[in-house]
Amino acid sequence: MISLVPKWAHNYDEFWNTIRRRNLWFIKLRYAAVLVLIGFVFVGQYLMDFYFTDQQVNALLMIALSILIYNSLIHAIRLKIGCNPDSFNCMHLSLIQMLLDLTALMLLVYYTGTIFSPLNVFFIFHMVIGSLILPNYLVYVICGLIISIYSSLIYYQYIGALESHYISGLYLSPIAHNLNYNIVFVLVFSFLMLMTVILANRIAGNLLKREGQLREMLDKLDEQERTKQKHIMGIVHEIKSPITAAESLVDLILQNYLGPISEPVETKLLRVRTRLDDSLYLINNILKISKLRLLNESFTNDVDINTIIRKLIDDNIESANKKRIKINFLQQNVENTIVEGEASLLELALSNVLGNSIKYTETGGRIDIKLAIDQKYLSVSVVDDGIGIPEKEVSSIYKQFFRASNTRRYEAEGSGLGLSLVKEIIQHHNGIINVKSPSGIGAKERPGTNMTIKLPFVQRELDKNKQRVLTPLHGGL
Amino acid sequence: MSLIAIIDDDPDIIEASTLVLSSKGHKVISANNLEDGFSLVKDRNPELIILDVMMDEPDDGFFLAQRLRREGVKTPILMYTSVSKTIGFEYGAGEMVPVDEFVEKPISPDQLSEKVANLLRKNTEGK
Repeated sequence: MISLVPKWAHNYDEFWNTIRRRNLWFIKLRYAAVLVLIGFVFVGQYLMDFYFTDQQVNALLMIALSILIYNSLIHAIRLKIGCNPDSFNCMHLSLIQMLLDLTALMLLVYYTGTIFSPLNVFFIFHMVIGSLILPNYLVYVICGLIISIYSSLIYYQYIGALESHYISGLYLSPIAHNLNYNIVFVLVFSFLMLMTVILANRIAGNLLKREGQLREMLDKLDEQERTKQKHIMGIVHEIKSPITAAESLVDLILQNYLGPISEPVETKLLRVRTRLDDSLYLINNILKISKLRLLNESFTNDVDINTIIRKLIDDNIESANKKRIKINFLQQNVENTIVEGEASLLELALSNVLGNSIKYTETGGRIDIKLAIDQKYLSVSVVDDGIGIPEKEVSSIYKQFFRASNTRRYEAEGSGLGLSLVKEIIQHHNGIINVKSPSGIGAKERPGTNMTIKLPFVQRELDKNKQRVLTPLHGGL
Repeated sequence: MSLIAIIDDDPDIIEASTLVLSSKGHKVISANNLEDGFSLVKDRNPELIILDVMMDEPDDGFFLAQRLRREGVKTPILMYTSVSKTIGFEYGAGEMVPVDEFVEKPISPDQLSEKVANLLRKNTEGK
């Protein structure tokens, strides 16, 4: 089967969408053309004093009926054919439509005066449309065919071999014209048709080229982002090596491999270890972000959020107890707590949220963890009566390295990386994260924060081979 | 007492590991690059090899492990890594990664001693 589709467009959905959209637009236009044609016959006949012969009226109405029939057929076929470049597809349908339209138009022109038909300008219109849709060589072939058939009709009518169908009422009297007029007309018509095809093809070609360049640039940007992330991972690993070496040595000393150590030295070394652990935690989080950005993968493992929350409460209960913070775990009619995702990442995200909540809730405070179903999502809210977030800063909290102004007087160490990581993880799971302060359970001086994470029960598969799609332009063409 | 070879480009890691393993009565020999590491294993025929994944280049450790296996060295290999579970790059022992065990940095003395003891015991039982 003749392939009408350029190679680059085989897997480019937007190309096919455009073709399908254009097909539908022409189908609608053709229904309108049928009405206009019938209107032309009746309005011309009865209101404008055109005089159509019976043969002309029959022919014009037959043509209108044929257009209606083939258009309905195309309308039905359009829904059934796909976009497979190797079989009959919507591009082939476009070519068939074009050929049928041109045949109908040629007949219309013949029955409305050939050389004097006001409808002959529609050939130009079809050349523009053809150039937008079909491969260049096909449009040139079609253009050549029209010029030869049209010129032949004019010639055979001139020598009397074919009957002429002028519309009396459009002209004052039957027009007498000589061969020179025919020659000049055909030359001008051919020139106009060719110039139209050349110009329209060039414009359409340039548009496609620009779109290609734009897609290439976007792919390059993606590639650069990946290179950047690789670079960051490299650097962060370089930083991680000396820290791990230092921590290994500190561990040795703490475990008396070099002999007994005094209590003050042990206390200080334990502090050194805590600080090194904090750095490693931060470094590992940066590495996780880079990995998330580097690998555009979808996660489809079953993850039980209920289990993760219970584990996190267990892990954090000691630090909460130290501050006499009460953690309540509330489930509201939740039967299914399993979502699709990557357990270690979701645990990291939720652990960051709960960790933040404990960090910024004062002694004697309260934290509610609520699990609920919200349509297609499983919703986890961590609500506290802690220090909250100043209203003006709520929108900035997901920025990397941002820390709200009211956290700085707190002893709690914070890198400001946590929430940006949480957001990134949740977005990679097609989830939604929302923050509210005041939380609703706090007091005036302790407004509290409500962090709600919604995770879809079923993930959408990411298609890695899919090309980048530009935002489609609206309208029929 | 066993002869253990450590191949790592970080002298502090070599020192820390040597201290831990010596305290368990093992004799430790070391090299700080791929070539020396390869010769060390060929010349001294240790009972266990400890390899760092990343030396001059990422994955250097894997390449050395593959080269050793190709040359017919069947000595158990324990690999030091700083990228395994923490960020989700899960390595598994297999043909592509021909090592027997992983230890994540920073090295915990207890974990290292335990894994080394297990590998040495398995190797002795295997013989």
